Amino acid sequence: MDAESFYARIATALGGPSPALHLPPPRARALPATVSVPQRRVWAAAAAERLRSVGGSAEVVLRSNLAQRVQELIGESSVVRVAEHLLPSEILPVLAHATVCSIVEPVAWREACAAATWGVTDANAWIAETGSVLLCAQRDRPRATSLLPRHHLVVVPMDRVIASLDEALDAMADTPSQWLLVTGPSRTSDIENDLTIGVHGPAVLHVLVVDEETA
Amino acid sequence: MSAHSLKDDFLDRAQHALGQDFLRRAVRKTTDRLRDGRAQAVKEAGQFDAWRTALSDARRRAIGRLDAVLRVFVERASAHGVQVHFAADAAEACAIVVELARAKGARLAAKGKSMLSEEIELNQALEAACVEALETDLGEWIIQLAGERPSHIILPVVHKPRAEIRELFEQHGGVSLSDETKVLAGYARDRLRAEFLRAELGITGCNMAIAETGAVALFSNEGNGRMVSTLPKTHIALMGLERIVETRADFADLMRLLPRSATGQRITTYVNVLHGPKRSAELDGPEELHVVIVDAGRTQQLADRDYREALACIRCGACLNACPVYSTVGGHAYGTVYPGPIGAVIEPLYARDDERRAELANASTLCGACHEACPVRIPLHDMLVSLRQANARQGRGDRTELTLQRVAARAMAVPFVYAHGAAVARWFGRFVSSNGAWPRFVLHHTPVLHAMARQRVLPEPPARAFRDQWADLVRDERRGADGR
Repeated sequence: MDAESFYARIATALGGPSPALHLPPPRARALPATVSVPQRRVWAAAAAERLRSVGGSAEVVLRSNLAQRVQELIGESSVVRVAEHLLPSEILPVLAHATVCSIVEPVAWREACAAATWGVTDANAWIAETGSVLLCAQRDRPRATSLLPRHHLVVVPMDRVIASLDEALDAMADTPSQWLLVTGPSRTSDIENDLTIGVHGPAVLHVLVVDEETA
Repeated sequence: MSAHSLKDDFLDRAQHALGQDFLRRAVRKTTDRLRDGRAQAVKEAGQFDAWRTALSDARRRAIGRLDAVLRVFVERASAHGVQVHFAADAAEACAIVVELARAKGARLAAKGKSMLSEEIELNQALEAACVEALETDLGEWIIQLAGERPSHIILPVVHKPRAEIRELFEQHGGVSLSDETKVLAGYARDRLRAEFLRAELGITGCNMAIAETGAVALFSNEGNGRMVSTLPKTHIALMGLERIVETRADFADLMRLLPRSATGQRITTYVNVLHGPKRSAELDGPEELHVVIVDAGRTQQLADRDYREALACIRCGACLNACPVYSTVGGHAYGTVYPGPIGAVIEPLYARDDERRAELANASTLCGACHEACPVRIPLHDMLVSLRQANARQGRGDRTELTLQRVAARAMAVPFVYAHGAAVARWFGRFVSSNGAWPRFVLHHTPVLHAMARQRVLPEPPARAFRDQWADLVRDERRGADGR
């Protein structure tokens, strides 16, 4: 059925065509006044608590300890990661053995992700209201990084911690091909209402929020 | 929709369900768990009712000017590369998907959970065209292996014991497994992972579209929805024409209400909002994203003022969990794709000449718990009453019971007849009540009475009718007032 006939069916059911809807194109809201670091820390603590309540984990790490912490978590496990400019430079040496999205072809990339134990990404935001990580797909942040490996490590700077889902919706204004919220590990209760972690998506979601020592 | 035409009636199917102990316990446990989860979430949220008001308004607003809202959605989705198709009915929707599968030379379609796909019987259509349709939601996959139908909107396989699930998997894979949930889920993960990577086509539903940004949103917990919308080269999303909100702000309310109403989660593990296929520079994601907007009876519902509001439904299943009938007999007794109060309302509206669906209006106690639980405040109980009225007007239902009700209605309108008739009925009731002198099988073969008695345990009538007690009550009340 063509579009106009379809709309006409609906219009008939409604008792006549509706006046055209003038929705302004999506725009990000004006940025709020600069948020203080202590405020972000409060949000980060809330986000961590909420993420833990659904089986995820999170910790605040000082920038000076970051590389060591990543090393402890990942060690020599196979890793895929997003492009370097999205991650703190400190951890790049620790991830020297990782397959990097910016230098491989699609088929090789998918195979690397399917074989990797860890996927390391940044996040567009980390949300206090729900503990969700926001990931908008782009060339340097491919989707499979956070989907195919069994473990997903998120490294996010403190200044990306936000209060609510409403602010996360701002990132939708640019209509990324995928706007994705991840809140904890993959789960199912399909079998006799028994909760199991790690069905199709990652079984581990760990967030490292990076605190600058200066504040 | 031939497979949906029902042979026996609701009462037979309900009776069958009541005989199955595992099913009864499982359904009760599930509905209790989900209802408690929701209650907890409501308490924690604090402003649940404010969200409900906002979302109820948003859904009704969008549906009230649906043609205009869809135009904006289609224009903006197309602008970022979504290919939109329109289907008047189930057959056309299936034909569109089958044609796409043919054009892509697809042999395997990996599917995310979609009630609309069940509704239009897409799997059968794909199989007929030699395309394997593989359900990848754990519950749906089990249902598919067993050749059954979902029994709950969001937990399709609650009716199945784990031992049966293990046997299904063992037969499927020629392996030996244990009954542990982890082991069973792990088997599904391993088996389905290879299929996600092999499938040429990914098919999902659409929880909601957002007109403002031209987006299709998918809520899921397992991650299979992400797999099928990321790995196959072509992604097809099936969308009921009413699944749309106007703005991101409206969507924010949905994000807060849908998971809480469904399972009591603050948010589902994944909220996946798609604006078109992958951009050319991106490494992964589908090369094509098709959205098939389906009517299949929905404009009929839209045209009917009495039931239009039911289109606001967000398919959370809260009304199922709240319903005393559903939580006793489970989803299969309804015999339809959508069970529970929402099913009893929308199923007859999708196919108005179907007698067996029409009777589902009786599968309710009219207690209103569904309305109370509904995140978008659909007056489901009022709609069920109105459907019953329509059925009576059309002479549907048990003739004897209808006649009895008509006689009762006449009698109640005349005080003298009512008073004496009630006295006779009370006397007679002593014999036919659950503790009465007449054995049940006699009752079931008594003309006129069997219609009332078939699924009811008749209570023993009180020695004195309420209307006889009324005069005393009024007198007592007066004395009390005088004594002050």
